[in-house]
Amino acid sequence: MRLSHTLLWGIALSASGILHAEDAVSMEELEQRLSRLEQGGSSASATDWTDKVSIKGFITYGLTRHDVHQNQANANGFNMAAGQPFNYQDRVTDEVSHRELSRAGIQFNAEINDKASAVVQLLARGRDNYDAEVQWAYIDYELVDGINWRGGRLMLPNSMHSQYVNVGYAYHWAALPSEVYGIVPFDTMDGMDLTWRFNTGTLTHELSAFYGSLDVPAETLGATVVYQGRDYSGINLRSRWGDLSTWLSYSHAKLSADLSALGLAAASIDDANIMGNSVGLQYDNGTFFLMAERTELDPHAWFPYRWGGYVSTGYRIGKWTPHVTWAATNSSDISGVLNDTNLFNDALAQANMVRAKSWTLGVRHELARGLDIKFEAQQFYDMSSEKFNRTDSNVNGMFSSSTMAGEIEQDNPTVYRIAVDAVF
Amino acid sequence: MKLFKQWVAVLIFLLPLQVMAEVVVVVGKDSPISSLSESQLRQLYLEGSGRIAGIGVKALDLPEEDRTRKAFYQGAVGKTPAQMKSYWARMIFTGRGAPPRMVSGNRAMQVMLESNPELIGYLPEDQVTSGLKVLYRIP
Repeated sequence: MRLSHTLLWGIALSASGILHAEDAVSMEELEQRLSRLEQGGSSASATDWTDKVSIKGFITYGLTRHDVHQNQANANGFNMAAGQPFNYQDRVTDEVSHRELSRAGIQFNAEINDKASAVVQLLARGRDNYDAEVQWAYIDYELVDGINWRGGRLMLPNSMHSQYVNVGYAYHWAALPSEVYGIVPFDTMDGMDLTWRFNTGTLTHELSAFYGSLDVPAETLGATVVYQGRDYSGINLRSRWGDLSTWLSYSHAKLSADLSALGLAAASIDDANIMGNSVGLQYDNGTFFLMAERTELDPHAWFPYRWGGYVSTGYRIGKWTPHVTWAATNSSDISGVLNDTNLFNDALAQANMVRAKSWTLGVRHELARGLDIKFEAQQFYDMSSEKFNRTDSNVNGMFSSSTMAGEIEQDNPTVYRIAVDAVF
Repeated sequence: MKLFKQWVAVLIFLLPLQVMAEVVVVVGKDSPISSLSESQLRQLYLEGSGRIAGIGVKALDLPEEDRTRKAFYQGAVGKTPAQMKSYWARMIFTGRGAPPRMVSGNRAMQVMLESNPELIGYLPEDQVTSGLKVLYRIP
C-alpha cells in the first residue's frame, strides 16, 4: 500500500510534468482521483519516511517435549548432568517447553535510493529469554543490473534453508531436521556477500559468494569459550527450472578456540581448516512436494566431522499438508582424532560425536493466509556411536552430550511438537 | 416442455455469472514489450521484477483476496495464495527479493499500467481497456 502510494506520487509528478503544472486544477483532480482509487485517504508527502521504510515480521509459538521419563546416569562419575532428565539438543526434556520453539522476528527495510537499501532484522528467541539479537543488518547495493553487494551482518548459507531457519511459516515442519540443521553450531557472520542472478535458457540461477568472520561464544564443558572463525568464505548456487530447484554450497574458514581458561590448553584449536558443504533439491508442483538435502562439516579438529541428510515428502489436501521425513546423521570416520594421543581431544571428540536416525510424521494446517498450525512427532533410532568399538562413546544421539549418561532404555524416544506460525 | 424451456432460459441467464472471465497479462499500450513467454512470466512473478525485451519491469498484484489473483497464480505459477505467502516469507526475510507491488483493484491496475510502460500486471479479460495491450493468456 505504501509502495503503491510512492508509485502513485511518481505518476502524479510525471503527470504534472506533462501538464507543465499550468493547469493546477486538473493536477489536483488527478491526485484526488488516484488517491480515491487507492482508498488511501490520508495525505502523504513523497518524502514521508513511511514511504521509504517497510516493516515485516514473523512469529512462532511452539510447544515441545519428549517421552523419555528417565534421568541421566553417572557411569564413571563425571557426568555433570547426572540425575537430570535427558535433554534433546541440550534443552528439551519430558516436560512441556513453551520456549524452545517460540521466537519472534521483525525486519525493517529502508529504501535509500533506486540502487541502495538497508535492512535490519531482530530476532528474539524464547530459549534466550526473548533477548533480542541482530540476525541481519546490511546495506544492499545493486552494482550493475542483476548483481548485488551486501555488507554487514548476514545469516550463513550453510544449508538450503539456513537463512530462514527462524521463519516457521516458510517451511512445512515445526522444526527443521536437527540431523542437518544441528550440524553447524553458528548461524551468522559479519562480512559481505555478492549475488549474481542470471538465466541459462529456461533455468534461473542465483550465484552467491561471501567473505567474513565470526565470533561465537559457546558453552563448552560448563564454561564459555569464544570460537573464532576467520577468513570465512563460501560460494553457493541456487537454480530453478520449473517446479524443480537445486542448491549447492561450499564454505571454508580458519577456526580457533582458546580452552586454556578451562585448564585444557592442550585442546585449544589453532587455525583449524574447517570446511562445510551442502547439496539439496526441492520439487514442488503445488500439490505434491519432495525435498532432499545432505550437509557435512569437517572441522579438522576435536570437534568431530559430521554429515547429515534427510528426505521429506508431503501432499497438500486443501488446507492440510501431511508430510513424512526420514533423516540421519553421523560423526563417522574420526579415527584420526580418536587415535590421537591427546586425551583431551579424545574426550571432547567423544562428547561431540552424534549418531541418529529418525522418522518424522507431521501435518501443517493453513488457518488463514499468513497463519498456520503444525503438529509433529519425530521418532529416533540407531543412536549409538559404539560401532567405533569404544565403550565410552555417546550412545544417546542428540538426547545427551555426556558419554557417561547411560543408555536410554526406550527403543524409540520421540520428540513431540506443536507450533503456530505467522508472518505479517 | 414449457418447464424445460424456462429452465434452459434460466441456465442461459445464469451461466455468464458462474464462468469467470479469462485472466490476461497486460501492459500499457506504450510499453515496448510485445510478447512474453511462460517462463518469463513465472520468473517475473517469483522475483517481483525482471528484464523483458531489454527493459526493467516491475510486476503488480491485485489484492490478496481477489479471485482474479488466485486464478492468475494457479495458472501462471501453479501455486495457491498460501504457498506464495510462504514462498515470499523465504525471500523477504533473507533479503533475496520483494513481492510485486499491490494495487487496490482492477481500476487502479488499469490506471497504473496505462501511465507507466515499465509496469506489468494482470486483469480479467473484460477489464482490458483501450490503453492496454494483452501479452499472455492464462490457460
